[in-house]
Amino acid sequence: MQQKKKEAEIFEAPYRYIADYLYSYGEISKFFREVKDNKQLYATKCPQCGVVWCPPRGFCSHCYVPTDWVPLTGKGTVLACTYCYFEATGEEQLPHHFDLPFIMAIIKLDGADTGFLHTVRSKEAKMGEIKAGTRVKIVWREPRLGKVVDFYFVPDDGK
Amino acid sequence: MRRVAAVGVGQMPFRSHWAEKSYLAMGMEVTKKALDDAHLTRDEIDAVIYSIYCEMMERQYRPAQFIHDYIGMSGKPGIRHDAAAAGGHYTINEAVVMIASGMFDVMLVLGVQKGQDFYSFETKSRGDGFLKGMYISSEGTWVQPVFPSLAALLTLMTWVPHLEKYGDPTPLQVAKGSAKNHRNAIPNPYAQLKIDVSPEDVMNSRIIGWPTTMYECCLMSDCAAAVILASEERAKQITDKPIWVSGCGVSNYPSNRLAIDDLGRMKGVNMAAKAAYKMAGITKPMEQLDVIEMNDIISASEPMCYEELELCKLGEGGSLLDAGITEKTGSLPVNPSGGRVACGHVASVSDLMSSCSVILQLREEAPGIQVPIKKGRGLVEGIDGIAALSAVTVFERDR
Repeated sequence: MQQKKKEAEIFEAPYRYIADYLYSYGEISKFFREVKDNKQLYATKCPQCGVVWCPPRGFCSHCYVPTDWVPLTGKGTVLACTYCYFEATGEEQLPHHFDLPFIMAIIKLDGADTGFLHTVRSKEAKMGEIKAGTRVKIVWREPRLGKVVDFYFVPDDGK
Repeated sequence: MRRVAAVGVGQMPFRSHWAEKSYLAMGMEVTKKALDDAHLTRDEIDAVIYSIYCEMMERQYRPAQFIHDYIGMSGKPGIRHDAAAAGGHYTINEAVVMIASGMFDVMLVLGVQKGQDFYSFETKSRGDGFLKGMYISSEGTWVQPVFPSLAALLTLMTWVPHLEKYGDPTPLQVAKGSAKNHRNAIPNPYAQLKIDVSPEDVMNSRIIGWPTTMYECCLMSDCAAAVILASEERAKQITDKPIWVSGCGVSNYPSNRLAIDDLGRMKGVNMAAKAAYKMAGITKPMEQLDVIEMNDIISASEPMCYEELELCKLGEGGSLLDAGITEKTGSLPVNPSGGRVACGHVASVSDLMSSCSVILQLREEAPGIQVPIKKGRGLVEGIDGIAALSAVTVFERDR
């Protein structure tokens, strides 16, 4: 009873925090310009150690030297994946909402030396069918906004 | 370097929502408890270090300065640190450095975090509001736009590839660990969720990010916790049960596991453990520790961290759960508090709760959750949501 009385005295007010940004991709701007305008994936290569970064880095984290842009094919191999039955993304204005479950994967893009976190979409594949070793290819969305959700991946049937 | 000891702890129960207390009052409550526990007055605190994870969740930028004023510490140094869900460990580590250096004699380490003032107007759910609100603490360009949930990300980066590379922990082993922690929470006066679930219940609960299920995910809570640390000279004046911080290690690791070789590992935990073991003189952790509290942010991370803490070899963490070694009745109890899946979790506080818990265990004053103390050493391990920030702290009592 005491507990109920206490709760009745609590007053709550609604609040919505909104912040607008126009943010710069800085030294990796080319990646998103190419995604938006040319449906082309790029990575960056260190001229010193040769590591190919994707997500791209303007400077090699190992050698501290500026990197060079190199194009990728948009194909790759799943290193690990999980089937998500829950989604908590916040950028609601983006057209990336998938039906549940969707697949989150770490993908090694052909030509890159790093893992790339993204979604694999497949209406047909049953749970467990997409796994480490599955070949995937990029699919471009319309319209593209210059964001990482301008594309996603599907199993590569070789066509 | 001066020795540093914990001389007081202050905790409050984890709750899904502390509607009747502001974050300021929560900070006051645990500060008062910690001061009472140490028989100190606020005048005897030289400086405060705050473990606060997220301004968005507190609905207040720079919250530490307002708490500092509220708890009557105005004029004293107040330092705020954020290391997400490992923040409590990082702040303890820093306080140890500041006291060991001679800069301060007595410090209050205070973690305060609300998370459940978030609310989704669309679904009328605080949980949905929380999950939507907290995604912003993930990496902004590459992760946020495709962010599924922390549980799914951690499962993807650690459990799935670990299972593939090392063959463990199996879904059944992980479910056993979850059931253990749920059982442990039942007698804990500070625990949020007190239900007895079987490994089968765990495995049959809703899938969040396969193979992680709902009962294998940490809770979402509001909470505060405090630890008072003191130099050796002051500690001996303050208490006859000083609990020494004998080892500390922290490690920041790539948050996206973009380095392919690291998939499936939580190498930061291993690096932090190695540093803490070296400082504490631990060579055989399995034989030299009485109790461990660690961050089971997903239940699979617990057995994987058994391996990173070198309690066993890679690929053997799950078998420790099969053998019951980390049960309360086993030879090295892990998470007798109930851990994050049952005791409660909010980043920057639950890790301080782990420290409070181990300090009380070593004082043999942990009501409901006390385990036998024979060697006089306990360990606290903490990671942030994706095991990019890792910390290990070793506590020990006078032997």
